[in-house]
Amino acid sequence: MSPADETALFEQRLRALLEQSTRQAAGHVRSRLNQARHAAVAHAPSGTAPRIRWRRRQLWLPAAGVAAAAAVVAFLVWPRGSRPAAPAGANAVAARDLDLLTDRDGLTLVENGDGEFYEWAVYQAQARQGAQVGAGHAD
Amino acid sequence: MPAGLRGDVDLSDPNANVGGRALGQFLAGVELRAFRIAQAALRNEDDALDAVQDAMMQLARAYAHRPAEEWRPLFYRILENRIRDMQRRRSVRERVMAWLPFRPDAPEESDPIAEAASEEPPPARRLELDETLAALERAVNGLPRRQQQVFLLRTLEGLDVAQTALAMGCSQGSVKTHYFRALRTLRAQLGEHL
Repeated sequence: MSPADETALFEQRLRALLEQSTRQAAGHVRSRLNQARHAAVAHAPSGTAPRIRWRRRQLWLPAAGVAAAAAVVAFLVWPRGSRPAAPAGANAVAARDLDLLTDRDGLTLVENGDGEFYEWAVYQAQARQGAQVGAGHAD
Repeated sequence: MPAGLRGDVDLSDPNANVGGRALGQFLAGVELRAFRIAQAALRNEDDALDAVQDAMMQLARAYAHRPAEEWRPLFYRILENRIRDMQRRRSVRERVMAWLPFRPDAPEESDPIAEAASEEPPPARRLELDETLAALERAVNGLPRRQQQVFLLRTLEGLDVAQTALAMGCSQGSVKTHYFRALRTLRAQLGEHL
């Protein structure tokens, strides 16, 4: 047997003996090691994958913050142009009412009691218009 | 040798590194050998258990997220540091105690029942094996500390030269030298037993 083989055999025997002596550990030693192991596992962070995902999420946080800020600014600036406009007719009526209230000539006509004259004038105008329509049909 | 006894983890399992299951499996596989290594260095059961517990805790807190194949050298690196700290502290304590006029840690009274020999004589083979193991323990305990740790990490734990160097914090050349000298000493002392 070569010296190298003898050394290898010696190592093999040593290993077997050491493993045997290790397996003979007393019960209370095993018990304390068991408790220590459970305590260590309980203190371990909750796994690799979630931590990496969280780190990836952290990388996106600044971009997400910028996007959220931009959305808030857009909401504050944009809505004035996009709100439904009031109907054009309503604005016109309101302006006409305002003109009537501020029209001094119109109020003077009502106050002077010329209502009958204006009623007569309207009646004449309608009668003339009706006569023209009737002549058209007769033609 | 089964994978669990070697402290290996099934890396093909996609969930092996998630949570504490793989870590618990790893620690269960190495804890007895780690205790044996710490006990050889510290020559005290309680100190050895404390060192292993601290190493487990540190590995779990700081390195549980690392790939499982890195755990073994990291664990033994932590254990080695812990053993060194405890030896240094013990050395300081002994020097301080040597100056004190009294010894507060009086040896506990021995328990005669616990120390009583079993009535049944062990079989001859058992006796021979016990003698061999005792001789091996004496020889390993008598090795210089660096040689002892390199020898146990290589032989008992099965670390290769690179992993042992990482665990011991020294070069691979130092590992080879320490291991060679340890083997030579053990052969000289245990030749009659092995």
